[in-house]
Amino acid sequence: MALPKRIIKETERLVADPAPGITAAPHEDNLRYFDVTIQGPDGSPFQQGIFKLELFLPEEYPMAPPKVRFLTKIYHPNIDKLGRICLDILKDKWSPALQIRTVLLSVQALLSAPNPDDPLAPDVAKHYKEDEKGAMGVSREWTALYASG
Amino acid sequence: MDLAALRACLACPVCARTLQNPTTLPCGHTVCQTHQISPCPLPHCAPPPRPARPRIPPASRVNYLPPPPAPLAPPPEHTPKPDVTINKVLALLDSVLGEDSSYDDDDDDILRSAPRSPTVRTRPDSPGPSRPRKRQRIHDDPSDDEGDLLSHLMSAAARQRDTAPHVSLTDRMRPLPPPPSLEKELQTELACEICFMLLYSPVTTPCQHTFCSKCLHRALDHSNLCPLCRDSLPGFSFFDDHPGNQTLETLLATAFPAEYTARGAAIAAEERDARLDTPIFVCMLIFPGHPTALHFFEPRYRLMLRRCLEQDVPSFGMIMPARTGAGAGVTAQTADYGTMLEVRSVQMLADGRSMVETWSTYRFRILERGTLDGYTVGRIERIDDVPDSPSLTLAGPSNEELMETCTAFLHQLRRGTAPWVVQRLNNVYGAPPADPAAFAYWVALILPIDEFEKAKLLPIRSARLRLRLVVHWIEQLNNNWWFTSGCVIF
Repeated sequence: MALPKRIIKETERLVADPAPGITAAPHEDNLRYFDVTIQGPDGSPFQQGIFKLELFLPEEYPMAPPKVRFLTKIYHPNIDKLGRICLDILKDKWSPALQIRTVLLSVQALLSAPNPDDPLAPDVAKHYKEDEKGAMGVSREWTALYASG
Repeated sequence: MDLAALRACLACPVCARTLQNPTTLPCGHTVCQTHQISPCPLPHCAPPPRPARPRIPPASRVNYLPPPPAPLAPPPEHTPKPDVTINKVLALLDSVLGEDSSYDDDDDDILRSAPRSPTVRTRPDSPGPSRPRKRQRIHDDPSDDEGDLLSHLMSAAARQRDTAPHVSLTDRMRPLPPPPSLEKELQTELACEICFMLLYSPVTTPCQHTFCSKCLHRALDHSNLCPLCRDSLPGFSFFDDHPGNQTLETLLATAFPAEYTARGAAIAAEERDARLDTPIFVCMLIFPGHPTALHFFEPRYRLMLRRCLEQDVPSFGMIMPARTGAGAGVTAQTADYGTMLEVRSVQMLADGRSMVETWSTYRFRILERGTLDGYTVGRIERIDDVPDSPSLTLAGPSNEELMETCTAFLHQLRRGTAPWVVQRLNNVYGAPPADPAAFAYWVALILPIDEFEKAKLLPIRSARLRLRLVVHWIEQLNNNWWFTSGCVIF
């Protein structure tokens, strides 16, 4: 089926005027599927990491939220082993006025502000709650190990 | 683009001056907040109601029952919010006209070339330039920014505008028509935040956010919250035939007449395209010639039904969901077969759900599948019975004998079942049809076997072969069932 005008517009804007630290490029054979990179925010344990993600716009987008997943391994209480992200705007707090750009900015913000009280990876969350310094150390190690290239 | 004409669109219908803190009322009129806003202060306020959705064609055979009367508009807040879109447009025009600059009062050039109402600037009740004061309020009021992406963007944009214009002398002296950037900026301000296109049939919510009427309806299929500020909205039926924002409609028709017409044509074309394919509801197995009551609640099917209802004979295809896991391969041969359902009556509910009565008409095979806004659509081929060949007719027991076998089996079932169950079965499925073509479907409905097995009846183009398949099932049941083979001790 034809691609909605809105997706075309969003893609054009993403390419012409990317958000700082974020890239998103659609696949040639599937314009609803995007390869995304997010730079770890300064001041976070993910600083200097380049994280790869995939983003898919379902048929009902923008009425339904995009599906976003980390492809790079990351030690974060709200991101699980499969790269799934616990973020309210990707679920029940989605609004059709949000867009790819705002979603990716929110994911970037989540890297700066891990929320161990709403965990998706319970072991990481526990670590963050009991020994934040140590947990951030592991996050830094993982960033250097998996997200540095 | 004629600035004076744009300006004229933005006059308050009550005081005739340029709108000041505009608020849009449920009737679609936009007035200054200083006026009475509940009820509408305009004499004889009777806005032409937008035709209710869906638009039922006059020739429609559907018994359409609209939702119960919409709840009254919620009483406006004590200090209502300003209409976000109109406010942004006002701020934009102000910045272009240079009204913000303190020195434009003595700038006759601009005054002459901008034939706007002098009352705007010399209003007695607003000391000093009016717009900056309002903008100040937006900046300073933290509640405006709270959780409201648009307010945030708006104030950011306004801040930019505060510093952008009236810098150089050449800018000030620039004669009208306005800078080419105005058209682009105005187009941005008049874009719907859901489809990112020029607003079409704009509807303003009580929280003063504006969307295309269609976009808002689709958003309401999914959530009762405003897409921009997450305020709760009065519900689906409230917006069913909601009057449009008249100020914005005039403004759109004045500023972008060609684009606005093109948008209307594009939307109509989209709807036409949506009708080219057969919408398909993936839900359950249905045989032809039976009534089915359905509850439409899923957002995608609500949209599908609305589109269906705008046709003279609303109908859609019904297929079973594909079986996953074990046995998936076995059902592949029947997965593309379904039955058309004709909508007979629709009872809309206030929240956008509906109860629908349908009648199943003919069988079809899907030749090609696609998706449209989340639901399945397809190109289909109708399936009808073909006359049985003589060799088939002569082989084995006659149709009547086959039917007799079925009836005997059902009698046997009934004897072993509580009478009220029998009664219910009779009520649900009616009396057995005399026509052998329909008889097998009727028996299959009652037989307690797997639905995917029953679906094998759909592709069969011979009434006789269907009967034989049903009898085959009955024989299998007779062989396997413990209670049909004599005495049972619990």
